[in-house]
Amino acid sequence: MMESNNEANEKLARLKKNYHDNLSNKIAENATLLQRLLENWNADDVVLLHRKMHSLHGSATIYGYPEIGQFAATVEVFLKDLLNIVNPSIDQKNHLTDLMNSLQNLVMKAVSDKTSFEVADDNHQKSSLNKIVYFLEADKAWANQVIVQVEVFGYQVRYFDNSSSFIEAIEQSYPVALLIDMNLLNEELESRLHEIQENIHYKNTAVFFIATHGEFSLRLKAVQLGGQAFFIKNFLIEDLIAKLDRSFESNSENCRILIVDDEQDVADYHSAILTLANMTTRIITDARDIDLAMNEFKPNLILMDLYMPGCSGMQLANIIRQQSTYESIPIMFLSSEEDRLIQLTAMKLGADDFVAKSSRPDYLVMAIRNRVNRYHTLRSMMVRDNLTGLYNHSFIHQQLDSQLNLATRTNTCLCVVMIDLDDFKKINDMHGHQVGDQVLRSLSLMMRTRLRSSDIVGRYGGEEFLIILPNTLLKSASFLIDELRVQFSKLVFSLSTASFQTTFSAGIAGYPEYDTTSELIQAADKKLYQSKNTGKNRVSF
Amino acid sequence: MTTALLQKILYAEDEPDIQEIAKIALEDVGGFTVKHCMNGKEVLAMLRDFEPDLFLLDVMMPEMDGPMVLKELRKIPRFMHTPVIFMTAKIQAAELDEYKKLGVLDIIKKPFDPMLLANMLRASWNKVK
Repeated sequence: MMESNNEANEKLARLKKNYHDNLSNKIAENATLLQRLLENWNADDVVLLHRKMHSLHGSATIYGYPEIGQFAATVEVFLKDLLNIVNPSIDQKNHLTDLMNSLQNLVMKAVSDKTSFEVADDNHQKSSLNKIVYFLEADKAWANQVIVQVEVFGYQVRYFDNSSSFIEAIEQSYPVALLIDMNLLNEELESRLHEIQENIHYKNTAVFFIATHGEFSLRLKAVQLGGQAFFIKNFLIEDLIAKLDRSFESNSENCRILIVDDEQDVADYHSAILTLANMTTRIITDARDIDLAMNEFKPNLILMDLYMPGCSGMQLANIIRQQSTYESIPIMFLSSEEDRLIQLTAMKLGADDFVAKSSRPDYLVMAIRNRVNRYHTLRSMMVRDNLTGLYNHSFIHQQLDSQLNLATRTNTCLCVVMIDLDDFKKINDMHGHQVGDQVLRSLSLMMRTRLRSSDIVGRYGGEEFLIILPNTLLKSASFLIDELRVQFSKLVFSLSTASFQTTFSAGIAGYPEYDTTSELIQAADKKLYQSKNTGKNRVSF
Repeated sequence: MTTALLQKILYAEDEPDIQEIAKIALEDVGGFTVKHCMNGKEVLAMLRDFEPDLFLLDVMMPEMDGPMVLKELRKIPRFMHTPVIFMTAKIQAAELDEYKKLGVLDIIKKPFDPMLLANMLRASWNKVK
C-alpha cells in the first residue's frame, strides 16, 4: 500500500510537471481561437472556446492552479451566454477580449514564476490530502452554512445526515477531524468512537462535538468519547477553524525530523521507521551541514547520534542552542550509552531525551511524537500572538533575521510586506472592540490559509501585520498580496444590527534591493504609507 | 444485485488532463480495472464488451452528457441497477436534487483528491452493498 502510493505520487508529480509545461501552449491556442472568432464570429468557434474554458476550469483546479481554474469558470459562464447569440455587441466582444487577456496574464504569471509550480503543488498536497473533515449533523440548512464557511479556509467537508453512513465513512479513511452533533449519537457510534481512541490509524484524527447546550453530563460524555473540543450552537466559526488548524498542524505528517548521524546506514534505518509513521525526515551525516539543514528543513525535532567524529552530539546540541531561534527545539540523543551520569551531563547541555539505539521502533515513534506535540504547545505559547494566533512581534523579527541570512547565503530573493487595516479605528468606534477583534482574526485566518506554506505571517502591532515571502520576486509578491486584498475586501462581516465590509493597504519591499532587516521594514512601511495616501485599499511596491 | 467487491469501473471524462490524473487515482492508488471513454456515446458502445460494477461519469461532456447516459443505462436490463456516480465541478442544490431523482448513487465534487478518489468510490459502493 505504502509503496504503491509512493509510486502513484511520483506519477502524479510527473503529470503535474507536464501540465505546468504545457499551460502556455494551451493559452496560445486559445488566443489564436479568440483572434479567429473576433475576425469572423461563428457558432463553431464559440462552442469550441466554451469547451476549452470548461476544460481549463476543471483541469487547472485539479492540477493545483485554483485561481486559473476559477477565472476560466468566469469566462466559461460569460461564453455560455454568447452561445446563442449570432452577432454579439462590441461591448460583449470587448469584454470577452478583456477576460481572455486577464486569463492569459494569470497563466503567464503561473508559468514564469519559477516557484509557482512547486508552491501550487505544495498547497494542493497540503490542502487536499490532509484537510478533510467529516461532519455529522441533523440540521441540513445549518450544516450547509457551516460547510461554506469552513471550506473558505481550505478544508474539505464531507457531510452526513445520519450516523450509519457516517460510521461507514470513518471505516474507510482517516480525516483530520470528525465533527459530530451529539444529538445523533447512538450506541453503535459511541462504541465506534471508543474503538477509534485505541486505533493507531486515528492518532491524527481529532474528534469534536457539537451540542445545543453545555450541561455537565454532556460535556463529560464528550470527553469520555475522546472529544478534544466541545462547541455549543451557534459557536463562532473562527473557534472551530482555530481548533481544526491546531489539530492539522500537530499531525504527524507535519513532524519534520532531522537525523544527524555519521553512519548513513543507521540514519537510513531510523529514517525508514519514522517515514513509515508518516513523519518527514532529512538526514545529515556531516555535523557542519547543520546550519543549512536547520534553515531549509525547519525540523520540529532533532534526532542525533551521541558519538560522531569531529564534533560530539553534545557539542552540536550546544551549538544549536546558542542560536536564539532554536533555543527550544527538542533534541533527542540516540546512544548505546547506559551510563546515567553521561546522560545527565548531556541533558544539562541541552539534550531533552535519550533513546537507546536498541529501542523498539514503536517506542521510538511514540517518544518522538510526544516530544514534538509538547514542543508545539510550548512554542505556540512563546511565539504566538494571543488574539490572532499569528507570530508575535519579536518572533517575526527573529524570523526576518534568519530568512534574510538564508537569502543572502543562498543567493535568493525575499520580500517583506507590511499590511495595515483601513479605517480600523472607525470599526472599533462604531461596532465595538469585539467586532474589531473579529476583523483582526478573520484577516489572520485568511492570511494563514491563503498564503503559501513557506510564507511567514506575524502580527506586528495593533492592526498592522508583517509577512515574509521567502524566495519571491517583488512582482510575484505584489500579485499574491493583491489577490489577498481582493479576497479580503469581499468578506462580509455580519452583525445582528448591520453588516459591513472592510479593506487593507499594503506596502512591499524586497531583498536584494534593500539588504538589512531595518531597511527592508522601513522601505515596506514607506510603501504602505504611499498606499494609505493614495486612497487606501491598494498594494504599493 | 451487486457483488461484494468493487473491481471494474467504466469511467467517462472528455478532458484528457483530468482523465490522466483519474487513471492514476483509480488504477494505481485504487487498484481497480478501468475502461476509459471520452464521451457518453463511447460509454454505450463499450457495454458490449465490458460489464462494469460501477459507472463514474463526468456530468458535462459533449454530445451526450452524464445524465443522458444514466437515462440510457436505465433502459438496458443488464445495467438497470448498476450504480452510477457523477463527477462535477458545479454542485447546485437544484441540480443535485435532479441528479438524485435520476437515481445517481453519489456525486463527487471536482477537483477530487487523486489519493482519496478510490476510497470515496468504495465508501459510496458500500452504501449499496
